[in-house]
Amino acid sequence: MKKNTTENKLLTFFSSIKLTIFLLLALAATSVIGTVVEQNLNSFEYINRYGQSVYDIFKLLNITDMYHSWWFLLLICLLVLNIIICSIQNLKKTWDIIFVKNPKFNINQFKKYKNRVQILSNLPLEKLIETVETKIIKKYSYKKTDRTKNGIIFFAEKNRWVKSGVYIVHLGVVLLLVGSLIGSLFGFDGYMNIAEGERNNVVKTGGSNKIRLLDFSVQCDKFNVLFYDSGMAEEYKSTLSIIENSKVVLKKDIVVNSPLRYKGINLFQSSYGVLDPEKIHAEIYNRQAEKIYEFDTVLGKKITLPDDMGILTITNYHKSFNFKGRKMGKAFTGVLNTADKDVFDIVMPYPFFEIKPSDQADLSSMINMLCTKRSKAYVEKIPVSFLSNKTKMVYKKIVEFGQSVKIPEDTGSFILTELKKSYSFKGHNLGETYMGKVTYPSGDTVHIAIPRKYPKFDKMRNGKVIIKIEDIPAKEKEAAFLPVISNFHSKYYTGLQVTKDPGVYTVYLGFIFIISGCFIAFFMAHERICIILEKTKKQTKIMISGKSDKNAQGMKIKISQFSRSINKKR
Amino acid sequence: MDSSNIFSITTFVYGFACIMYVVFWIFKSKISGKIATAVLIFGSILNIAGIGLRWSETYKLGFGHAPLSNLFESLTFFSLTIALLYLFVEFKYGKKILGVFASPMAFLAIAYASLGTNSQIAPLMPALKSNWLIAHVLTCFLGYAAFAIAYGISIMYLIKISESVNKMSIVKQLPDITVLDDLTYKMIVFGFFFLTLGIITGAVWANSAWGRYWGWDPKETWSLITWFIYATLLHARLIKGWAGKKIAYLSIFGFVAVLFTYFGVNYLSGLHSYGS
Repeated sequence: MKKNTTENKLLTFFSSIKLTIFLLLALAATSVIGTVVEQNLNSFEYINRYGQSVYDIFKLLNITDMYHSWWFLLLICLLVLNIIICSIQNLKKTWDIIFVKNPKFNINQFKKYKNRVQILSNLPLEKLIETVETKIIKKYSYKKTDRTKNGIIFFAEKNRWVKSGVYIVHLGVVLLLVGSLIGSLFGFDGYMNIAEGERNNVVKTGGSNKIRLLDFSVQCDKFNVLFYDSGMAEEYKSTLSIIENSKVVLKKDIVVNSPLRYKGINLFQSSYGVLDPEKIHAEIYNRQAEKIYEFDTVLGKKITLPDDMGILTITNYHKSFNFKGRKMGKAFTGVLNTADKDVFDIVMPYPFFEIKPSDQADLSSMINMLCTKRSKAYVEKIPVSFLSNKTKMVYKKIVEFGQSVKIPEDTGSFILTELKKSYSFKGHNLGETYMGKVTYPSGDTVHIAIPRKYPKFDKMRNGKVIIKIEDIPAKEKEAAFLPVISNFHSKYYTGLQVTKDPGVYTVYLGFIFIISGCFIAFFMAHERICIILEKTKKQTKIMISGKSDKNAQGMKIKISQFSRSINKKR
Repeated sequence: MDSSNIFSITTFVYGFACIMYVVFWIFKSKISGKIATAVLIFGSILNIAGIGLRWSETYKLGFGHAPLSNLFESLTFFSLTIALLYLFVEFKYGKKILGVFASPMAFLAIAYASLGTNSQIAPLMPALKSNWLIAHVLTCFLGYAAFAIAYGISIMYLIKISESVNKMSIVKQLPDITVLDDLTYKMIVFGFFFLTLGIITGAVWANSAWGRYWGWDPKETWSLITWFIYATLLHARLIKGWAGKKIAYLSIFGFVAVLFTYFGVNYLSGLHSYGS
């Protein structure tokens, strides 16, 4: 017996409307959190914004991915349980109402309704009965007539089944959640980047470098982006081929709202990018020889120039190059090693104006601006300063790569190891950076980095001595020539969102149930009407009355319409 | 004459309708009541004309899209849906006084559009190029408009039951509390249906554009929060029998969520940023 009561208590709890209201409001309130605290950022970003202690709380409560947290899913599961138990408990009652064979009609109730109309008619009873049968109760699905002593009673009813509307809605909600569960268990969501002309079947899913291989390859035949005159993107279009067993089985152009679907996998246009240029066509004007040389190259390739001009390497391509504080758009950068062992850093803007050999002065200043000679020291000897935190003294030394120097005030030794082209710190590229190693008197070593752009970078180490590398101002020496990029070709790559969601049909079915259920439950009414015809001495007494479970106003109007149409002669 | 001019005129016409409704309320002047309705109808016709003209203007500029693509356009449409839905309620239930609270919302929406937003016609960004745009925006705004009117009626309800003012004659003028309560409920049912449709059309659209029907984007989430609040209201009323004051408060609370879904979300980052 005792077990029975706890069971009952549990059932009452899970079927209670109080629980429904609590869960709906709790879901509403907690959902707000995820719209205020941006979701799924990296931990560094959260600590930066909110501090370590707040982040610890976030982690504890899964706030950083709250819509998939255990407590949010628990709320949803409780809601589903609440819906299912409630529905099962009430279904029996509603079932009996909907599928009753002989609905009961209580005349006395109909006589009490406020909307009832009573009129007297001069028309014969037979005529009235005919009108009621052909004009009024025709539209009702269930009809019943009772002959009385001197008249007839009609009962009619329709839309008894609309009581099922609410179950349809709730079934829809459950289907929706089941569908999303199927999706999260058996589906995936990832992306792949494919360069024009290439193919791939590797999809990256999730943040943690997980991958998934498709059963087929996707080839990007062409990517194109169209722009409006205002510069706003108008359309991104990828021409894709699906390749299976080295045969093209499907070819389709996809744009943002028109994906490709194949074997349950959906490919959506989501981003694009430009790859580093290939096939760079460049030319060099040699002032001394008054000649123009043309050549083709690629990034990183060493080109030996004729007439002992040296070796040119175009090293980088910049989509938007920042030159002496000014944005200059697309540009290439490179290094020129001349025959007399000078090294020039060269900026090659694109597009460049045409070289006119007559404008010697202009060309000269242009060369001066774009070609910067590296001083020998920059390459070999580096001035390093050591700033003591204790005594505030600054010690300056010239250091060569690989040479161990003592750090003043007996705090250890320092070796400058290399100059790196780029250095990544917490996701940011800090550019050219000196790398070094400090050995403390205790024997412990620490690697340090000093970006050229941030000479005081070592401050962050909190060491006894701050190591600082003063950048050497490059000595101006004119290069003899200026390489110019006349054109280049670079490929686009298309960024595809790749998804598989076997639950989506269940979700859509849920949508259909929710919409149709809501329509039935809100806008269709269960209607019952009763018409009594009763012969008096000369006339016929007519009473019409009805009930609608939703639209009382509409029922009232309907009844007065019935009363008018019933009494018409024709 | 371009569409911006027509919207400016519409703003004044709606403003005039508001004044006439208030005159009707305070001075019980039947003639101003009739004028108010007529002016509001005229305003909606202008509003429709403005939207139609703007639509044709987008074609002239070579873009050709329904004028529902940014905050300005959505506000002009919002104001039209409020006006039309209110007129429907007025004709169906014959309670002109509701106009005192409904017409200012149509006026405020279009006034905000004219004064506070960028009215330039811009081409559509790739993500908006879809037939779902019209279905999604239409259903959402029918829902929002119904909630706006429900909010107005709930305010009337609270004024009517407030002991400090309910002896005043202009408060006595307000419809009976049972009528107000019933109309609030009816508007919310209507709004809930269309909000549901709006969320679902949005989900289907998102699935065809981005490959997922739900992504917890702030706008999506806030529309769901709004849906939860009104779902609570409906369950509390239909099963627990809540009525009157509690429903009025929930309806106001729900409309605050609607406003946040519409405007507030623009301050959070997300995919619906073109709404700003």
